[in-house]
Parts: sequence; C-alpha cells; structure tokens
Amino acid sequence: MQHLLRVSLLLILLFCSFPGKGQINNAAVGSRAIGLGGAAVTLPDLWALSNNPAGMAALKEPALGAYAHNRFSLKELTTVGLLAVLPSSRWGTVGLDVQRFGGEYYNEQRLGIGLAHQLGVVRLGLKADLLQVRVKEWGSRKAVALSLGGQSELVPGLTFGAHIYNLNQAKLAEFQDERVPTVMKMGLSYQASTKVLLVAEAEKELEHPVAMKGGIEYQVLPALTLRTGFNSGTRAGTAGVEVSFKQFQVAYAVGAQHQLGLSNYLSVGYVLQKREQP
Amino acid sequence: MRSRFWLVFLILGLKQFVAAQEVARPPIDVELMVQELFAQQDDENAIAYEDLYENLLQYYRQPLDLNRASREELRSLWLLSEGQISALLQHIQDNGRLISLYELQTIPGFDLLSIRRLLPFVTVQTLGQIGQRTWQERLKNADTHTLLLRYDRTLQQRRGYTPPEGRSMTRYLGSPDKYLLRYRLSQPKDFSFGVTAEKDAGEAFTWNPGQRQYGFDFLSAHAQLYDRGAFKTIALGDYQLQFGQGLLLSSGLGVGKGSETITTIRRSQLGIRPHTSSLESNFFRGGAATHRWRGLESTLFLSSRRVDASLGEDLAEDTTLFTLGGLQTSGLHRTPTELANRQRAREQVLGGNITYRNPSQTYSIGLTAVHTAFNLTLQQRTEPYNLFAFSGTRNTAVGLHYSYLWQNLNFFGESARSGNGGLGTVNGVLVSLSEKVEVALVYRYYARNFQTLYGAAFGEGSPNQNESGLYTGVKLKLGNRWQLTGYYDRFSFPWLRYRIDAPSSGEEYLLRLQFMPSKTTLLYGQYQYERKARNESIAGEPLSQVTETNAHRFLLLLDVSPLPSLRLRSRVQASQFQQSGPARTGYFTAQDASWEYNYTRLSARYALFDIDDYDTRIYAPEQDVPYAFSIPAFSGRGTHVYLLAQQRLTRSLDFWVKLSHTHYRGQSTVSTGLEQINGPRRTDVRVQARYRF
Repeated sequence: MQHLLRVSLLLILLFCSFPGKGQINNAAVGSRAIGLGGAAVTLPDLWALSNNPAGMAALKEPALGAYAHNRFSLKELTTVGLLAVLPSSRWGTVGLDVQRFGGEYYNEQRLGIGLAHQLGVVRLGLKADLLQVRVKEWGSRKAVALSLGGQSELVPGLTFGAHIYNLNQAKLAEFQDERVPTVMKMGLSYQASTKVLLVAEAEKELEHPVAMKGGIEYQVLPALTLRTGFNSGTRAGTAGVEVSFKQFQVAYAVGAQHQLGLSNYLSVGYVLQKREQP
Repeated sequence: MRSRFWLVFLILGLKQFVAAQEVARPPIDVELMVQELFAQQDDENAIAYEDLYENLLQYYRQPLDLNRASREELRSLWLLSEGQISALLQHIQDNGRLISLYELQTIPGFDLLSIRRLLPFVTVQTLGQIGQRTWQERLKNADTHTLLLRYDRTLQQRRGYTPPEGRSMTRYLGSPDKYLLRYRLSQPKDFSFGVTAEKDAGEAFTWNPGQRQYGFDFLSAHAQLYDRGAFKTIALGDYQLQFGQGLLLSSGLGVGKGSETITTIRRSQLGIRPHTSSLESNFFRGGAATHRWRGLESTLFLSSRRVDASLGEDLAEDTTLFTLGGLQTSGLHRTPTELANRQRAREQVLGGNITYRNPSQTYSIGLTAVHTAFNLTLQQRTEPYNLFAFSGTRNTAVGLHYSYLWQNLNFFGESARSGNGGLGTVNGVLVSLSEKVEVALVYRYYARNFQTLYGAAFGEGSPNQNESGLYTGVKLKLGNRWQLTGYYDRFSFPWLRYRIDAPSSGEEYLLRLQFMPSKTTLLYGQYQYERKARNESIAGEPLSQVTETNAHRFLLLLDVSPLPSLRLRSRVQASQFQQSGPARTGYFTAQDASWEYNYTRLSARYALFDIDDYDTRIYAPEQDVPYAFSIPAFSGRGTHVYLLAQQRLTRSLDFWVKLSHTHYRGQSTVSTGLEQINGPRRTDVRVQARYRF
C-alpha cells in the first residue's frame, strides 16, 4: 500500500509542473549550487560541467566529483552522479559525467561529455548528453541533448553567465510531442568581498514559467563556507555548508519545500594536484 | 609600362587604404540602434515597419561629414544634444575643420560614450571643394556605387500557394519568392541616382503594360542633384519630403517615443530626400527643387502617381458616382482583390515650403502648403470612428513652423490647418540644463477633424488626428558610467478610434538605467508602462464596453565584447497585459553571439519565448543583412534561432545569408489565413549580394 502511494506520488511529481523540474531537465548538480538556490550559471568550478560547462574552463588541475541528491526523503527521487574534469593545454578542458536518477519503476540515465575553453575573459563551453529514460514495462528511450554555455567577467568581481540546455530540443516520444525540456539560464554573480559572493539567476524552461534564483555564499574560515539561497521555481529555500581539507571539498546542502518537506544533498570534490618533480 | 601602371595603381590603392584606416568606422549595430531609438511597435495602424526602418537605415548609411554638416543635419542624427551641437559648431568655427575624428575628444561636452555612439554615422573629410573636379571624375569616384540583390523565401508552404480548395478559393497569383534589386550611385552633397525594383512574396512577375505591370511589382527611380548654383536640391523621380515638425510633410523618418527620450522627439527639416527604400506608399513621384537665396530656402514640388485604393460601398441611388474605399498602404498585390486595388486612383500633389534661417542657424521660420487632389472621390468605411477622416477629392493644408535656439533652449513647433478647417499644432522645447541634465517637453493638439495625408508629427496615434497630449522626457548622465533616461506622456483622444468606441485617454512612461562599466560592455534595464482604453465585449451584452488596458514591459540587456572578434549579447524581455480579467504574461530570453574574422562575420541567436497571447507579444530586434531589417513579434511558446553569415568574396563583392527558424510548441499551425503553415515550424531564408563598382 505504501509502495503504491509512493509510486502515485512519484507520478504526480513527474507530471505536475513545479516539483517535476527535477529531472531530464538539467537540475543543478553539486551541493554548492543547491545551497545557493540552484543559481550556478556563473560559478567556475568542477560542478559546472553539469551546471554550465563554460565554468570548468577555470579549473587548473584535474578534478573528480561525486554526489548524491535525495528529494523529499523518497528513495525513488534520488540522483547519484560522478564527474571528472581534465584541463589540457591542447584541447581545452574536457569533462565527463554520468548520472542516474530514479528507482526501479522509473529511472533516467545520463552520460555527458563536455568541452570548455577560456578565451580572454570569456569562458565558453559545449556539452552533449546522452539521455535515457526507462519506465518499467513501457521500455526505454534515448535522446541526445546539446548544451552551450558562456561565462564572462564584465568588471572585476562581476561575472555574467548564460547557459542553454538541450538547444536541439531532443524528442523523447511522438506522443504529445514529448521532448526533453529546453532550458535557458542567465545570471550574474558578484564577489562583494573576498569572503562574500552574491548570485542571481533567471531560469526559463520552455514549457514552464520563469524561475528566479538567488543565493549568498559566505566564507567563515578558509576551510568553512556557509550558503543560503532560494528558488522561486521549486518554491524552496536552501542552506548549505562546505568543509575543505587537503584536496577534498565536502559539501552538504538542505532544501526545504513547504508542502513536500526536506531534501538532502551531499557532494564530494577531489582535486588532483600535480606532483612536484623531484 | 604596364607594370608601372600597376605599381601606381597599387600605391594609390594602398594610400586609400591607409587613409581609410584612420578611425575604423564601426558597422552600424541596427539592433542596438532600434532598441535605443524606438519604442515598442504598435500595429494598431498597419504600417510596414520593416520598410519604415529600412528607410531610416538608408538615411543612416550615408555618413555625415561633420565638417560640412549644418545644425539641422546634426540634429537629424538624433545622437547629439543641443549643447554638443553648439560646441562642435563653435569648435569648427574657432579652429577650422576637424582633421580627424580623434579631435572630437577635445570638444567640451563630448564624452567617450557619445563619441562611440556617433562613430558609425559620421566621417571627417578635409578635402576641398568637390565642385572643382569634372563630372566624369566625380561620377567615377562616387562614394556609393552599388548594386544590391536580395532574395527571401519562407521554406514551408503557406496556404496561399496551395491549390484552391475549401471555403476560400482565393490563392496568391505569384510565387513565394521575394526579390529586391537596388542600384545606387551617389556622392553626399553632390548627386544621387538610383533604381529600386521589388517583388513581394505572392506577387506575380508579369509584363502587362495595360495594367501598368512591368515585371517587378514595384519600380522606383530617382535622380537628385545637390548644390547646383542657387539650387540646394533638384529632384526628379521618386522623392520624400520632410519639413518643419512633419505635421504636413514627413517622410518615413518618424521616430517617436523610445528610450532616447530627448533628441528623437524633435523632427528635423531634411527637405527633399531620395526615396530609395521599397516602401510602396508615403512618397512622391515627379519633380521637386529647393532654391536658396541668402537665408531663404524655397521648395516647390509636384507629384503625380497612382495609389492603391479599395473600392467603396455602393451608393444607394446615385450609381453614376464612383467612390473609393480607403487608400491602401501595404504595397502587397498577391490576390485578385489586391491586384484589382492596385493603382486604382491617381493622386496629384502640389506644394511648397519657404523657410528662412538666420546665418548662425539659431532660428528658422517657415511656411508649408500642400494641395492634394484625387481623380476619384475618396470615401472611408462608414464607421463612427471614421466620421472625421478625410473624404472627398481634394485637400489643401497650410502650416507654419519655427525653431528658435536661445542659450541652451531650443523651441520648435508647427501649426497647420487642413482643408476642412481642422487645426493641428505641435510645440516643444529641448533644454540642456547642464552637461548632465537634459529635458524635453512637447505638447501636441490635433483636432479630431484635422486631416494630414503625409504627416507623421510626434504623437501616440499614427495619423496626426484626434489627439492631444503632453510629453516630458529627461536624460541624466550620472557620472561617466551611468545614464538614466525616462519619459512620461499623457494623451487623450476626444473622438472614437479604431477598436475604441468612446472618447478615451491614456498614459505611458518609460525608465531606462544604463551602465557602461567599460568600453566594451553595456548593461541596461528598462521598464515601460502603458495605459490605454480598448473595446471589450462582454458575454451576453450586445454592445462592447470601453475599458482600460494596462501593459507593462521589461527589458534587460547585456552587451559585452570580451575579445575584439567576439561579441556576446544576452537579453531578457517580459511583458504583462491586463484588461479586465486575469493578467497575461510573456517572457522572451535570447543569447546572441557574433564573431568576426577578416572578411567573415557570423552572428547567431538562440531564443526561448513563452508568451500567452497577441496582446502580450514581444518584439525583439535582431541582426539582419544590411539595408534589411527585422523585428519579429513573438507570441505563443517555442524557440527561435537565426544564423547570419557575411562573407566578402572579392574587394567589391559581398555576400550574406540569413537563416531563421522558429519552432512553436503545442500548436499545429503557424499564422492564419492565406499565410497559414501546417506544422509547428517556420523557416525563412534571406540571401543578399552587393556589388560595389
């Protein structure tokens, strides 16, 4: 009985507009982004591979990341993923990620490859995602979604970012012209001081109303960062904490949605440092 | 011998190249220009905006020589404040001609921002009199000697091109291709010759002299000479006229309310100008000349051309009288009905203008008279809102205009009386309070029976009729990087209007905050509000009510050029419209990129839009091939992409291709009527080639 309830709730979530924003859509990845309300289009970090591929061009060293996101404490609404980003002088920065969302009855897989370049003060990124949707007893579908992103520092401290996800409007099914959502994000971030970062973003998914997102990041200590944010699309408030030690960054974020409860996000980043030549 | 000739040629060529290198004239950014100068379009009066803007572009394409420009011409650029114009003229008077555009930086009042805005539209020529050269030489070295060919087509089949079936059997007579051919040979302030030929989509290529069809559906030619002895301008063929504030004669350069809140509200007296665009209405065909004697300029013009008009309703008893419906300005002749209306009436116009300017050009006063005669009686549709519209065969209008500059105050205005006794007046003042504060005020009153056939003076409605209003604009330069502009306009319409069955009033305001953090970055946000009345039919009620509509429009634009070869532009536009009932909204977001390398230029846009209905439609200007223009209006939900490529093939041949594609979601057809496309997509192709002789 409980299982049936869960599955019907899941279906409601998937077909109902705002919480459905979760998947196939490029939901924000990494606890940093989540902690900032999902406003990640301007951020230059490892997680940018998924949030705005342009951002990974800022990385100097190879990095690895893993994350687990759970929504509303429902096992079926869990996303797990792995990322790897490799800066190279010849090809620009190359990134690879895999992601899985869902449970036994409905799940989505993603395999993405991204490429980013730094051109002066501009970072440009390109990504192709191979998406697969599986619904038990209905079979599975595959589609390729192409994404483009850009970040640019307008004046020192003020960064603009834009990202278009699925610009080719990949089709999942003929039925009701079912397509992978096309999403366009634009945002600004402002490094108010070395410790304080403000971010704001507007996200438009073609078939849904525009969502406004914003967040504040405060670096309490060099190793400890606190965050908070909001997202008008999911109508959620978020908060997060990040601890860095050695080459690791462990971040945790929590999202609170009035009707559906809490969501938990955990991510771990690892930066490979070049070995000093003896 | 031969090689020596080539060497000389090479050196001359190089020299020219070096001279041209002085300050590279940046290409005109049409999209930004439109965003700056124009307000939101309004297709309440179906004017072909594309043609109108094309006209304006033509005007902008010929750079103005700052050394020889008059105050009037400088004003007509709409880019300089009165204070800057005075400073520039003073500078030239004190120090002689400008040697280079770099010299502008030394003139008080010229900040970097306004110089950068000005650059695409001006040049500095230090050469002496061109009159000293022979005709042959001047023709050979004309500034512009080009042939332009353009082709347009919508790839999807529209209903008008399918075999007739169903209820409406009407179909277009011609092919869906659009062709434009334009030849021009001109030298600023010396001469201009040109030919334009156009066939719109759906029109047929036919040779039928009986129906006055000669291949292309629209043909136009002009020949103009400037500064011939006592004559300032002599024009033959197709031309346009603009005098005073454009109340009686205004030629397609009517820039109205926009985010440029000061300079665009004053019209400048451009006099006779060639008609070079493919706009098929609002021009004159015949001859015109401006004679100059001391400070007195007198213009006389005569025009006779056939105009499109629909057939009016039959008169009850008197069947001998033939009446026309209304004049038609679309210039489209695709269906048998449109073709039957083609050139149905003959319009003859005779008029003149006398303007006196004092030597320092600080004041001017002038008189305009226009007499129009139609060979058939014009009769508007018998609707109450048309009660005061022009009908009959002739109209004589007389107007007086003035402009007076006192310190930093420029007063200007025009008052006119139309043949039926209707009065119209528009008066205003532009004030440069300081280098940082500029203010504009305009009051207009156009009586409900004031009839102007070629006028387009400042106003809310596009015929200057049945309107009164007061406009206030300000521009504040808040430091080097910030600029705030805004206007407030209140208007009322004492009589009914189209879709407004009662006298009504309204207001409109706009605010724009602009931030230019560096030379290559521009960021601005704009808010516009409009309140107007409109009919609303309520279920169960036989009569529609007139209720108020409220429209809000937002715009955020970021333009950044991180590398000299790369330009990125992001925009977010939103709109909200409410009559009674729930508000409807629209959202449009676009990312543009353009990249330039040697002789190649690529521009692209990706846009998403989600717009509830036609009332919340959003206009988003986009890049296009030169001399063309597009501001598509979006409604519905979908994506829009375009790609524009320019390639210089040889020194004299340029080539452009534009592909634009709109994909709608959740709809199975695009557009309506004969323009309907089955399927959710629309793709347009535009190809243009320009040959410079």
